[in-house]
Amino acid sequence: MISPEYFLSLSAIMFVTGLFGVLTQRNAVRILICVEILLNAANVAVMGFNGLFGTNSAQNGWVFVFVIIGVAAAEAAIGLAIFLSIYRNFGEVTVTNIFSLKETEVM
Amino acid sequence: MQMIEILFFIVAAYIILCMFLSITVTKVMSSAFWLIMMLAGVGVIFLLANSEIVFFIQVSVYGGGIAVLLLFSILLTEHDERVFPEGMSEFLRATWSQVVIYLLLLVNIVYLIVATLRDGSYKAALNGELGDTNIPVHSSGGRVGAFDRTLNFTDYLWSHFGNVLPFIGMLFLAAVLGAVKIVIREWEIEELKPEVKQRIMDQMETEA
Repeated sequence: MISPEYFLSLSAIMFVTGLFGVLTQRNAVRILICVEILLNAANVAVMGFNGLFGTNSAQNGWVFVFVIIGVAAAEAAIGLAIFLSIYRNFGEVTVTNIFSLKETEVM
Repeated sequence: MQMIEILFFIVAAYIILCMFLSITVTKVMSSAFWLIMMLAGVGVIFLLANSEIVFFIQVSVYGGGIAVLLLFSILLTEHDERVFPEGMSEFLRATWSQVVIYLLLLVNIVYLIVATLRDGSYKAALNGELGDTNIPVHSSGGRVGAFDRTLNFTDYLWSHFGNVLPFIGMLFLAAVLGAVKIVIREWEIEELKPEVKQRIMDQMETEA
């Protein structure tokens, strides 16, 4: 038997590393890769909690994982489309150099 | 220690290795490759938790759909191939606030895990364990076993969560339409190749 806390520990390590990547990376595609790691950490945690509650709710977690995977796929599609659009307009996908929404001059 | 636990630790080590590689390698393409390897490892983790159908969905959606999306977007764009930060000094100079947040989070999570493991009172609330093939699940007609469990789950999904799959379908549709709307572009006639330009000019003349 695999104890659920193993799942939760793995999920915690994945989540913290993914969050670190999101905070430190400068390339937009790399940031999206780190977001995928975050979402997978959530999936592993849901699977671990699913094991905590047996009987008839033992498959509820699977439904949550379904929804999370669906949302992740949709998010990746939209995100990568936005990156292509950004690349076309700016010539790069480095997020620190793209600040057209930022106020240029502060009075 | 049981065999399934050893297997879990091996797969977990593999996942963590692939995850660190995907964040630290220089090329973005290699980063995507290691991410896909990591996602496959997560799929195996799902398999160890007795959920074959989630393993299947994980491999097909992540290993198929998202991998192709990532590869296409990486190939269609140019990248600054530097991993940020390049050196430890630059790392500390530019990202000290992120490092503080990271350390705080790490300490917080490690404390929570250690406190929970030491306490142990949560074990009274457990009535199921992962890796247990006799785990009581929704069952119609007493079907047990890997494929029958998947069959049970589809029954369960459609009878209890019948609106989940249409919701995901609508989400995908909206995402694809939105992505197409964002990416689609009308080309200026000057940007086209000469032969294509000539063809279009001929077409316009015949229409006129």
